[in-house]
Amino acid sequence: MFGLSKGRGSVTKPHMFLYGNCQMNRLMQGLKMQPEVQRLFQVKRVPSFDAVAEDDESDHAAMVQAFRDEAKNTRIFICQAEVWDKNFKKFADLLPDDCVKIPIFSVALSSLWPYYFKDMPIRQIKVPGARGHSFPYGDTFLIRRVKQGVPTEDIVTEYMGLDINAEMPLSETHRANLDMLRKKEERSVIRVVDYIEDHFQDDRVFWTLNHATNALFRVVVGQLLAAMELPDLPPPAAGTFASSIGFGSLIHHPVHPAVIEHFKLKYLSPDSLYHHHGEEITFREWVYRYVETARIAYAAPAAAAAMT
Amino acid sequence: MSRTTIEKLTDILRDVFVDDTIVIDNSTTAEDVEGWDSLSHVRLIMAVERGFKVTLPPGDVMDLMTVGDLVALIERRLAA
Repeated sequence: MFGLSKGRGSVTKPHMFLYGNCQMNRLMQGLKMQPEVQRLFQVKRVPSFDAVAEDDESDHAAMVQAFRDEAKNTRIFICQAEVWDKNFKKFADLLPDDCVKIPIFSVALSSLWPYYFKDMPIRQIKVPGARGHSFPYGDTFLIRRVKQGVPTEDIVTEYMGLDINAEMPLSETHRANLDMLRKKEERSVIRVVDYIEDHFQDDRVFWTLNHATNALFRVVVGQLLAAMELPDLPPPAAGTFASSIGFGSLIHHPVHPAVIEHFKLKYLSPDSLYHHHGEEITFREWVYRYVETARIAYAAPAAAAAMT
Repeated sequence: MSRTTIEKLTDILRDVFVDDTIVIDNSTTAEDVEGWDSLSHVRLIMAVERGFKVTLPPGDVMDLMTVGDLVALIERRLAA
């Protein structure tokens, strides 16, 4: 499509920059494993989230600065279209005129977690020694009961027996999610919504709402290579890509048994275990811990933050 | 007296995000409402569709910038 395999005859390898959220880290890992990509490009990522202050010394800030310094040698710029609109315009002038820009999109699906919301009070509570938030994904059903003062055991019992589909039409929600993704896909060179629709019942496609499994990332990498007219070769060691470390190894967002039953998910059961900051816990245990943590976070957010 | 679209929308937002303190006006954006992000957007839109008994096309709801845009879209669909 872009004639990239011809190269430019430059002594220094040009850059392939990936710009977007943490999903781009996984894509970068996948692309770096391709021999032809390694031969032709220096593959780097620049994060789109977090405004970077002048005195910021974080890894993110270093990546943004590296991009500012090296952008003029960029041959390929892979960007999530939604963050391009919001954040990228300030960097666009740094890219050379002949840089090939490849739009993709941030892949996320909330169908399996119908009560998700961004629970900011509970996000203030960190797990000592762990990366990230204790509970990055909130649940409005549980928070409503916590706010009503219902005892933890009663909440757990009620939630475990809840007929979610009677409360919220799961298939309709799933359809709406896919429709929304298809609109995003229209601006992208990658096409994964059909893959998600065809596979999500038989194979694990998402660990959390916005953390796809390697199976889906592998599809995206293949489509990116095809768009760049580069060969899609197996990684040097079998399973390398599948074992690459990412967020999915830290947190799996547990799925309610009623959702598993409704969608007839073949890879999960009510007793499935999920990664949770180095432990393996069931959905029921996750609910219990989330409610207990929420009780602290919502009762006295300032005190909860001070505990961490 | 019938309730305005924004009053009804306020109730829906409070219910979806479990926060009775949410106050919105036409200039409110998702960033102003704790809990409202791109991942919970689908659920909010479905609640709006149920609450107002309208269908909101995916292409239209993705481009919404403010609550005012959502109110205008709802009222267009109600009038259609």
